[in-house]
Amino acid sequence: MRRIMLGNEAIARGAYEAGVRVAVGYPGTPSSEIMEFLGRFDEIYSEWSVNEKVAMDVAIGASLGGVRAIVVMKHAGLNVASDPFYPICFMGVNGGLVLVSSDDVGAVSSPTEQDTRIYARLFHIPMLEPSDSQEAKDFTALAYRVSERFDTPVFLRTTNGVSHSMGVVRLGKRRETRLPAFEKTSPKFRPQGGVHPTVMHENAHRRLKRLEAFANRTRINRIEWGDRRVGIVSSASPYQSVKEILPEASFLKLGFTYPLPEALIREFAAQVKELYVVEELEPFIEDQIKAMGLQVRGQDLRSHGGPLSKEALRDGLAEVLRKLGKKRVRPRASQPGAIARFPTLCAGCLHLAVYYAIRRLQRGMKDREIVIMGDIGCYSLGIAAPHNMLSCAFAMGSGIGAAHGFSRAINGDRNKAILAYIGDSTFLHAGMPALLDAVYNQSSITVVIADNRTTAMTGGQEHAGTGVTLKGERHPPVHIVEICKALGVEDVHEVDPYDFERTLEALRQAIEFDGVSVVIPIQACRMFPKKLKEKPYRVLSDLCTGCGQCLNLYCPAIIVSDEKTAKGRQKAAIDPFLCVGCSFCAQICPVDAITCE
Amino acid sequence: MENSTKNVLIVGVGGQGAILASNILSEVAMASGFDVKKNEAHGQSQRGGTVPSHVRFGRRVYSPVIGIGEADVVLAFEELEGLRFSHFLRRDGRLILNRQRIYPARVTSGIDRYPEDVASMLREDGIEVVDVDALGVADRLGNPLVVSTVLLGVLSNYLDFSARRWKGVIRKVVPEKHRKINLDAFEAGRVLLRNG
Repeated sequence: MRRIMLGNEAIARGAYEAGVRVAVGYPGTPSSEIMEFLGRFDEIYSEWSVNEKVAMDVAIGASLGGVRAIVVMKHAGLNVASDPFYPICFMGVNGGLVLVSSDDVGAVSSPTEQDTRIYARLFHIPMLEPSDSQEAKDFTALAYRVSERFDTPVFLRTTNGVSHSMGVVRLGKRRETRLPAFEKTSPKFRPQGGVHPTVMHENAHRRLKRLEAFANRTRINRIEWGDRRVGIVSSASPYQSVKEILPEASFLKLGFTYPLPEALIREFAAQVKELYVVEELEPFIEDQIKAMGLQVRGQDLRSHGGPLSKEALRDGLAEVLRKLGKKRVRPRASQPGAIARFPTLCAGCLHLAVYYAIRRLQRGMKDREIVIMGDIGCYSLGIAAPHNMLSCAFAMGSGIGAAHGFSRAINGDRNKAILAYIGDSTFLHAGMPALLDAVYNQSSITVVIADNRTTAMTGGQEHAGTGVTLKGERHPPVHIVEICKALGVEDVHEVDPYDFERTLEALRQAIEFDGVSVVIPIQACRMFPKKLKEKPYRVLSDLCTGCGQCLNLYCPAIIVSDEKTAKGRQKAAIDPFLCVGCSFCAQICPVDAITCE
Repeated sequence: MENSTKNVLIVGVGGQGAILASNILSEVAMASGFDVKKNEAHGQSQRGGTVPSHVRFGRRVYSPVIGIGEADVVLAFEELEGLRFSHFLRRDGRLILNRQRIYPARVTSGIDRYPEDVASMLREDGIEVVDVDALGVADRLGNPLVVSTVLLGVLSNYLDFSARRWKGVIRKVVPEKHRKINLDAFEAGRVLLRNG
């Protein structure tokens, strides 16, 4: 049977067919759909773990328990998970263990662009890189055979180009493998008491030698002979782009990209006149080929940031294209009038209301400047104009620690009020230890935990505070306000952010509090898990003075109308399709010109 | 090899149904025996951003991404998005433009101005523009959400797949209670230009 599948769906399917029994992960673009698809299989236990480190711990435990396990995250998540992952890479596995990490090339939805291929080298483990949906499925299944045969976790790395592309996939059947029994007395998972870490290190290098021999003969590394004047080494989605532009060249297509197949690379290099590497981001393959003493070009023909587009490839390989007699057609220029359409906070989003309240508070306290340490979530959109709310955002849960550190740095400077801004999912992910740290060490900051009842940025996934699991089961939710109290916060305010006066007052009190204070505005996301919409509001045109107060909310539903006041000011209007009826704008209108009657 | 692949770029704004339309086209191409690849934007595009969906089909398709100057057809669900992606068209390519405007935040907040007459601008640049009022058709059928199926009907006139094949896939993909209106929408789109 053939089906068109998203790369991420194909990975889930591959895991299913390989008999995987435990799947764990934390959402992050572009990896999120893998877990969502895995959650649909009854045969697989799957969960959104509280963060990637915990997900990794759970997957390792499952492997020790003798089943095949998969652990899924995005590039930034791998940084979090690397702590427990590093040792297990040296110790080995019991049931097959596959780590999927997806790199957000182009940083579509990330604070950084990161090439996690380098981790394969650091971890001393094999890495497989599919280049389309069919390979995504096939390589996932292969990864389990490699894992168990070589006693190692396996790294399956994808990028947006594979994760969020679709292709035709041939389906297979699920095969439950016979799993090795776990011996609780096995010395290999007990450093110091069992195998000494230095011995583990030696073993990891010996294993790499055997893996390299495998890389030289596996079919997923293959030579496609063509014109031998040009030899191209490539992998993942860049392979697809360059294969299309230069189908007549000779190719060494790599699916198994760490450790590299040195003998195969030498064989290929010896038979082509010029050798090129086509890869995205860091010169990962190129540097290793250079270390083999071979002459190769690549890095000098491309940029390091962003996806390797066909246009960039044609520019970089212009000389090669000419040599092979390929003419370039000059495309049309892009239209100058195509103004930008940036992603924005949605109409009725709680962050719009909280940001507005903070701005209003700032206006009222001229002697103190509010500085906000941001975090990772929808509210990161508040970094950009017109909001300009957050001063930083670098890793999940880091805003609270940064706020604490910043307040210590300015040591008692009462001219500044230090805020940390974080969401519910991010707070549970990595914000809790930071809050504990700030409380115990007597910081004086205000933490806003904007609780929209979901992991909104990545598409509305469930978490421990929602009361729903990945499998759709209902479990008792954790209560963030209780967590804060248990961590020792004495000043906690729960508010409805749609209630402007109360929100403003809670923020004012929290900022004035000497110590760690927390404000928790709670209002469900209007988009996820289901769309929420109430009767739209409208502007009573006769009453509108065109003061622009409602426009300062930056709600996408509030627009400038064509109508003008006697003084020539443009009146406001509300788009009834976008308005979700949150009432916030009606509360801040100074002349009561907004109503839903 | 490069030329044997057909490239259809479907562009719109989050929530308009461009992704669903590209899924239907992909299924039609696969059912017709082609290799199909497709690439689309996820994540932030859901928040009022641009949604480009690349659909490519042929004997053997490598990259899922359509490059600048490679699209046989750009199907634009919205005027500004049509303008934005017009340079993806081949020299002899065609732009199907739904005459619908969705204002970006920078326009509603007064920073930018929405371009005046997109169809004329593009025609002046020598682009073949087929402009339709698909939203009007969808409204007449009684559901503005079927605008994407109306546009697929228009698109079907420019691709070599039978109406039967299209309707078979629509029947398969669309839930039963919306099936009839979507089949009607497809037919309305298909004959839209013939009736002027």
